[in-house]
Amino acid sequence: MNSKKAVHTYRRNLAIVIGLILLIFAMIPIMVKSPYILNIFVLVFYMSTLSMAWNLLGGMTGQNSLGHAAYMGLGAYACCLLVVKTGANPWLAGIFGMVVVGLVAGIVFYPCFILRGPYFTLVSIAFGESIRQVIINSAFFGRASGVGLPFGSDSFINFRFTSKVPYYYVGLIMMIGVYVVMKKIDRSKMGFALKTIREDEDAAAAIGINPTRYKIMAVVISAMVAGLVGFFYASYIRYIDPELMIQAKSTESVLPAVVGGAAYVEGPIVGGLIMIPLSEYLRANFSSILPGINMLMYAVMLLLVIRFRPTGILGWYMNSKTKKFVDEKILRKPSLEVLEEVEMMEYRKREA
Amino acid sequence: MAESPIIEVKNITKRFKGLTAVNNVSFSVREGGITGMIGPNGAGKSTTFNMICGYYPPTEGKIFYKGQDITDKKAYEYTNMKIARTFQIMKPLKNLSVLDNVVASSYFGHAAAKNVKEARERAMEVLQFTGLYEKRHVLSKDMGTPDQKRLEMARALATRPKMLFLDENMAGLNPAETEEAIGLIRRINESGVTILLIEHIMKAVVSLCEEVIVLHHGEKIAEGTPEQVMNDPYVMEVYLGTKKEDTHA
Repeated sequence: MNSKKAVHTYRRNLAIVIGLILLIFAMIPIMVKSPYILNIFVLVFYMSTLSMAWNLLGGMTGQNSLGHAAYMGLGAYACCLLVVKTGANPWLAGIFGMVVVGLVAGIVFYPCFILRGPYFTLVSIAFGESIRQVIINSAFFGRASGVGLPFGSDSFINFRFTSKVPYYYVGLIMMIGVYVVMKKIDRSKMGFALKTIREDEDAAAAIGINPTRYKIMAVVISAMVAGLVGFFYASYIRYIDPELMIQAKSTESVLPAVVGGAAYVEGPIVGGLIMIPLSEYLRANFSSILPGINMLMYAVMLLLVIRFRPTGILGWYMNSKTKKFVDEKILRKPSLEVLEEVEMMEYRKREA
Repeated sequence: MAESPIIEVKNITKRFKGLTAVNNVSFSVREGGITGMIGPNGAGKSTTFNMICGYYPPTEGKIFYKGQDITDKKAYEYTNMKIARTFQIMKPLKNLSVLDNVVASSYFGHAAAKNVKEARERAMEVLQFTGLYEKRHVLSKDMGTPDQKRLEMARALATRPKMLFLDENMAGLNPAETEEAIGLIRRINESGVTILLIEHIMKAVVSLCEEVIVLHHGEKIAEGTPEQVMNDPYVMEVYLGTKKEDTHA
């Protein structure tokens, strides 16, 4: 029973810490009035979400995509065009956008998942560029001038606000929601299948995993989350153009995951919280001294992280003394054996 | 039961471009037993394994499992037929703990676990059986060769096979570790699993196998009990005579 108590204390402490973090995020718009700062937070939320979508493929499945800006852009276009052309409700249009992106990704990438190797990465680059060219050259998509969403009075039903605060909360909920889904996948049968595929496709096949099937599932889910981000972005900025899908934007969606730690579901959020404010800070303070110097400094910092912390910030934290200190003194985490024992006991109870 | 072969290989041939790795090999594996496959390096043992397990399609020939033609089955369909394999070059899921490695296997195959509890309980059982239980929280990449070899077997066993293919499971082990591995393989066999194994260590082959198949240059040159095979003059010449360092006997 002692072990049960220890696990209980640990879980309570963990819940308190998570609750405190959530409370801080919930309080920020009340304390911070500057729209500029709030904008940075909104940026963090949707870029981290996009990066989590990337991480499902890149981190968990080992399939490096360089086309996530295109999924996001496609989702944004599908939703904007539906709103502009038919006057549909933006929330419903958002769901429509996700479905469209999921279907397109599934159909486009099915053939490259029959093959192994870097084909997926190459096709994902080509996919982004082709979609952008189609949009630039088609009147239906508004060519290079893009599509604007209708302006009007604030309303939740039309997902339209002048203030940044509602976007802050919706963005935060989106990020947390996607995080919970990713965490669920990580622990599920599908998560084990994806991680086995990442480590070795032959080994995956040897235990009965059909690699093609699971890779398709991963790409469809990942693209749908990117489509969701596209919907949020379009509703927030209220104007989209084909620039949204340029290659650099796809690369940007990879960075938070890699810097934060691609092996962890939390990686993209940690990376996003560090990299995006940093990039904004450099832009605000240094670009006036010498144009472009902010990008240079950003690049140098990236190189430093990759050189000295190749497993990302979380990868470093997980093996650090800081984590040991936090686990032992603050969370009072019991040993793995004790945790395991209690977990099995709970499983048994649930079964009965 | 002893009459019908569980695996029957008929005239399989594998050509990689101009190179014929396996040429017109036929043999059968008796259900419930342990069959060994030996031969010098490059004899085509692993290629034969990969063909039987669905990794390479044979250029010619047919493979039967319990009388059913499985020549065209995909590798991932095998666990559903209660067949599992290990790899010569170990393929542990490096960044996962030993426990998670085995949990992953428990989720798939013909007796796939329905939920976390079932998967973890099965994994624990298999870990205890293979003697890895104490190391279940270690990352598999941090373990040494003997434990990684065991983990290969544990991952295969968690899919609950009736037919197990072991590809050089004792290479790189010292004599004491080899003894342990032999004991483990025997216990697996006693639990009702038919085994076909590739092995270089003659001591293990002699003590485990009832039947041995000898391959050389992609062709079957002998089969029979270990004693018969090792007294075959041709086998002695091409295998034991020229490759003494491989025998360890």
